[in-house]
Amino acid sequence: MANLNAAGPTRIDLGFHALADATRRAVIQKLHEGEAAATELAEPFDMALPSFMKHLKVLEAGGLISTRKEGRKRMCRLEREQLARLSGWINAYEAGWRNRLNRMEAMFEDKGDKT
Amino acid sequence: MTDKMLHRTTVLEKSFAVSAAEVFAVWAEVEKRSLWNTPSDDVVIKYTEDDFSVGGKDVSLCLVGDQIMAEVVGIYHDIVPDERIIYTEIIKTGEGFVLGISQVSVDISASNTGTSMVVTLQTVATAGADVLDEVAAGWTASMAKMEAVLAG
Repeated sequence: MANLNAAGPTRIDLGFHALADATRRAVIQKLHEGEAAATELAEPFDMALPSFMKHLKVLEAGGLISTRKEGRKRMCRLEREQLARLSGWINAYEAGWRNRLNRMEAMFEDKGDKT
Repeated sequence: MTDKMLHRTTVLEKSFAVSAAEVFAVWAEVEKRSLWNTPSDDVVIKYTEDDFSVGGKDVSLCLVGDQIMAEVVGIYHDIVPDERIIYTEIIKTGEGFVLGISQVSVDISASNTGTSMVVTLQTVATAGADVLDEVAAGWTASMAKMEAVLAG
């Protein structure tokens, strides 16, 4: 429970990596309004579509969005559960500290038993 | 876009039936510190640098198997033997992206039964907070709409 990466080491690292970029964060902000086509999401950005698609792939790898084909469109939607996991890191960090101190206490208690 | 941050202060208190010197030692000596200083049983801590002195730095890797889950850089700001340690922990992903920074203040004092220890964590989460705020705002708006629809 107190594991810093309860969602699994790879997935959560990829999730944070996905958030470490302004373009990708802007995509997530847009997607909280609802599902949108990749071309529609790309419009505000001054970059070639293939470059933008790479950003979407990073978001998808991080579990923050999922995509599906609808005719010729690539539709994207937000995966809120993964976002919620990432927000929980500060809780996990504090829970980790409680674990650390409990372990420290156990060390002293073990030592007491031996003497 | 300006990244927002999430701040939190947490106070953790413990009492031990040992001397203040013994409590201080489990912070100061890396061999002892690595025995308890892991956030969960699944995570193995490996120190790659260790300099427990004012201005000194230690670096530890949180490992699950051969996966680096996090890298923690500790920088020591104030050390009073058997009484006080103040340092910062910078928590990064394996690839160096900063998740958060915590100032850790450790207050050690003698008590009737042994030693009291108060650990204060002043943590700032630097990752994702801005996005999460936006998403929360989106949810609040959606819920308000739902409420209006239901009321109508």
